[in-house]
Amino acid sequence: MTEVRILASSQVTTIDFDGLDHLLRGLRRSDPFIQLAVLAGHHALQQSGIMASCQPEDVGVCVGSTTGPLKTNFDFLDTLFDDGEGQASPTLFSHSVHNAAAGYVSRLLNLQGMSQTVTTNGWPFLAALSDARWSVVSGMLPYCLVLGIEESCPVLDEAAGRLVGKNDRLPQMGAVAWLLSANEQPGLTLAEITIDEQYNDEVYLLSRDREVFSASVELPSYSSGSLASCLSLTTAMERIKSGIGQGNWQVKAPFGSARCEFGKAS
Amino acid sequence: MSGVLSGIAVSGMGCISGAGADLVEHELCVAGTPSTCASVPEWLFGTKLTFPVFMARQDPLGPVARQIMASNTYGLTEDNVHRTVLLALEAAVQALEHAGLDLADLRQRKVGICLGTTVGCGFNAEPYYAAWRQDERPDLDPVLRYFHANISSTVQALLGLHGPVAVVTNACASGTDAIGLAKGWLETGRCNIALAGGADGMSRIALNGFASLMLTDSQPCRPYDVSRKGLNLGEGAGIVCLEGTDDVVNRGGRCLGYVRGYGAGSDAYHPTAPHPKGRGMVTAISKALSAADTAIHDISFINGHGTGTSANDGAETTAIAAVFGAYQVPLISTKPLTGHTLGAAGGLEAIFTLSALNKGRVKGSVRCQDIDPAFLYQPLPAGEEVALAGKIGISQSLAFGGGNGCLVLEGGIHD
Repeated sequence: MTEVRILASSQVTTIDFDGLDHLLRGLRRSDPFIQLAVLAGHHALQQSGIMASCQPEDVGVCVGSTTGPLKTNFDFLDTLFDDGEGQASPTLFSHSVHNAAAGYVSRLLNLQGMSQTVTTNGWPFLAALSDARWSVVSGMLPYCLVLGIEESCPVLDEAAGRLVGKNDRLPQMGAVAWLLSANEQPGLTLAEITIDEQYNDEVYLLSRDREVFSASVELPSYSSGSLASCLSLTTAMERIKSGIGQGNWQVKAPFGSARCEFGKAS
Repeated sequence: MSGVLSGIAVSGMGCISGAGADLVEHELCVAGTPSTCASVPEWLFGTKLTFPVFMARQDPLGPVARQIMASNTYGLTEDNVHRTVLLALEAAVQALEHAGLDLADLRQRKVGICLGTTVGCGFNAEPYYAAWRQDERPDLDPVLRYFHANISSTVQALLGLHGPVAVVTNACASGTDAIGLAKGWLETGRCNIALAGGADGMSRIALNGFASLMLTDSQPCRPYDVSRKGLNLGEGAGIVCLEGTDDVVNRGGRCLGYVRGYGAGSDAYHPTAPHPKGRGMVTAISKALSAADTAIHDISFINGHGTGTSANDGAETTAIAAVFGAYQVPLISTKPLTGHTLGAAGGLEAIFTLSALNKGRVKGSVRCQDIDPAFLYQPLPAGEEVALAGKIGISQSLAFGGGNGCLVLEGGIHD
């Protein structure tokens, strides 16, 4: 069985394109959801240095997000309501689909392998990692850039406040990126991912209460929200990578559990 | 070609769309029973747009699916879930019945559900948002229902199954990619059985979105025809039941076909327009053929994406020409029968492909009278029917964002 290595990773929670004018030109019409994805993907690729030695079709993109660019979804509705049928914004419509970010990442970073986006209510970044891992193990791709992208949306934030009294639900946005590889380079391996997501009360999904992370390394605490699992997992992986070189991360929540095992390259 | 019929089998197929309410009706539609392309029905939503669409029947659920919906313990009803969920449930139930699988038995196994959708996972409760943005605070039910828009987890809950779930949201390639990913789930042991494909209900949001992009035709669509003016939206669901071939044989089931290979590629070109040379489609086809251990001469026909937009049909035929060169196999589109069902398209078209492979014949695209002379690859025109030279075919999809997916499918037992 092919070992899947984690060549590089990045975490982005603020949008800063300082020194990246070549990317900004292609992002003129984009929303923050897309910009976060492009930034995170760029940083991971830069860190890996692979683009100098591989073909564009060797690198795929796999995105996971719970709600996708939901704010853009509502922005499109604004134009539909305000301007009337037949006059809604085509740009906002094309940017409101979940896979708009994957398309931008592929285009601006010139990655011509697969371009996938998946969503689950719980941990879509883990689902994307799992699918990307298969694409590498199966030989479809030598490299896959995996992104978790989340943004909070005023409509859902307000609903959470009314429903569960969570006035401390902070607006969150961010993206993480991992570059997976099948090649024989040293590094940490993504040995196994198990995900058990169960259908559950939508109140939990809205509040993300009682989501507990643990790992074989010390983890910072994160405020509740769909971004938290992305950041927690990525931090755990980075600490394991820079430390003892093997370990695990897990999450438990009312809607299921998930676990990642990391190993040393043999 | 290896000629080894191992790997992932299709043991059941379920479908509902403007072409019919089940597999038999879809096959009759291919044979010549016309499907209806007409204005959006008033019972669904009011619209000033006059672009015609292809609708599934008003009440998507058949008796078995209706019974399942009625007996769920989650408070889900036909009235409080998105229409996409109803379409997906009906197709999933059909696929399981077709496969001869019993729900009680399945509940003891790991059943993956990997479905594609586009509008199905968006926030579609327009009245809620219209009130909310006026600073009203309407009842929260539509927000809670939004979480049921994840069609895979909701279908899983309704069927009482457990196993991996994911919704593929790759725009118009979602259904194709979902089948490809589910193949991976089975190969890596994440599940024993998978329901895979796609579903999308008709939506005022999608209708306005495609209209704003000027991609819709005011007449019934004419894929690959020189006079084509755009697509017609459709709705539906196409879901296949996937299992290991040995598992199907051991339980006495029928292998209706096989998913031999899957490939994907990105255009990396434009947010909505395909690369003019179909760059990502070339990658997708090439990778799928390689994964299937299959050469172009083993392919007996191609079920194309064939939306009827100028850019899509041009890019697609250019991509096929780049891969197949002078080797000509029938290229058809089934979208004149169903409309463009978005996330459902890949699922429905995989089923159309397997059906044709099993019958050994394929008909040219309806309303494709005068093939665009600019094409580098010649589709099969309307009115022509050919016997297939083999049992292996291709079903492929292009998408917004530059995603492309391709399945290499092999026919099995003729139902």
